[in-house]
Amino acid sequence: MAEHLSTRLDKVLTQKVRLGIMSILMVLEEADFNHLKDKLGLTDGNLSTHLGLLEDAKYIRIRKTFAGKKPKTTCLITERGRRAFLEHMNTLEKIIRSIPGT
Amino acid sequence: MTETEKQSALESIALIKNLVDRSHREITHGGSGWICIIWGLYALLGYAGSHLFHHWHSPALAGWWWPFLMLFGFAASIIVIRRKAATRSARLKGSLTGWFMLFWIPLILLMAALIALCLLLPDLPIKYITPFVLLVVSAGYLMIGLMFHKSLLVMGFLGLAGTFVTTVFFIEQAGPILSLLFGLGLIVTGLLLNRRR
Repeated sequence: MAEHLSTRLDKVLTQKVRLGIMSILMVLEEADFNHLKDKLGLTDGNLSTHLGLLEDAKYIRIRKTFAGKKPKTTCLITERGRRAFLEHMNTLEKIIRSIPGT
Repeated sequence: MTETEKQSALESIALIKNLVDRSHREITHGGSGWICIIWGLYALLGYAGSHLFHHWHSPALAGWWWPFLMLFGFAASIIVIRRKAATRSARLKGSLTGWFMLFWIPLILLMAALIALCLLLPDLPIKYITPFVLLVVSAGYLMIGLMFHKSLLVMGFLGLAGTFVTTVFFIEQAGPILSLLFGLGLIVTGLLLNRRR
């Protein structure tokens, strides 16, 4: 049972940084690049890599605009991302419940 | 399933819970910490300035000092909201503006209305104006604290208790005591709200 459950975990969301990005976006729906960088304590390059992977999985959409002359990157959660996050969380809870004494 | 996998699932849930809670808290009172600090300084500088103008025999300047300082308070609050909103989501922008609109504007209007009312009542001794205004304002904090954050609730309770004690026992020094209490109370609340972000 437990073996089966662990294979159901979303491979993209197993990584903690990507799970953190999705947790913030689940609440805020959209967040600025700098806000995510600040909240998760990441470097530009590290965050960009993880956002790229989430975008490839179509869990987020990245919108690039300009605020005056400054480029502004906004990350928006997609419906697919929302569903994947909820399923991943559900599986995590099942794993925890399957452990005796938790 | 290995122990490591079990531990990892627990850590993931803890991470989700932590970030979701922090984001919710930010939506509820994001930016309000700095706004509390601004208006705490307003109370302290307001009293100090008006006291100095009275000391220099310029009652007209003392009267204009509070509204003049209020303009700076509003300007600083708007700068805080704009700076916070610039790097955040539409939901946070809404919550920051909403916080300011729903909480601070009615409160400031209430204080202005109460001060105007006090000035219109010639029989009301001037020493009772500050306790009167702060009793009403503290009741407002108490009510709003029930909805938003326990720091505001505590501040409302301390405001009521402090005003009551000051009015009963130290009415002659009510102005400086209550300005200090109210101003420092707001600054401490602001620092607490900022720390909990």
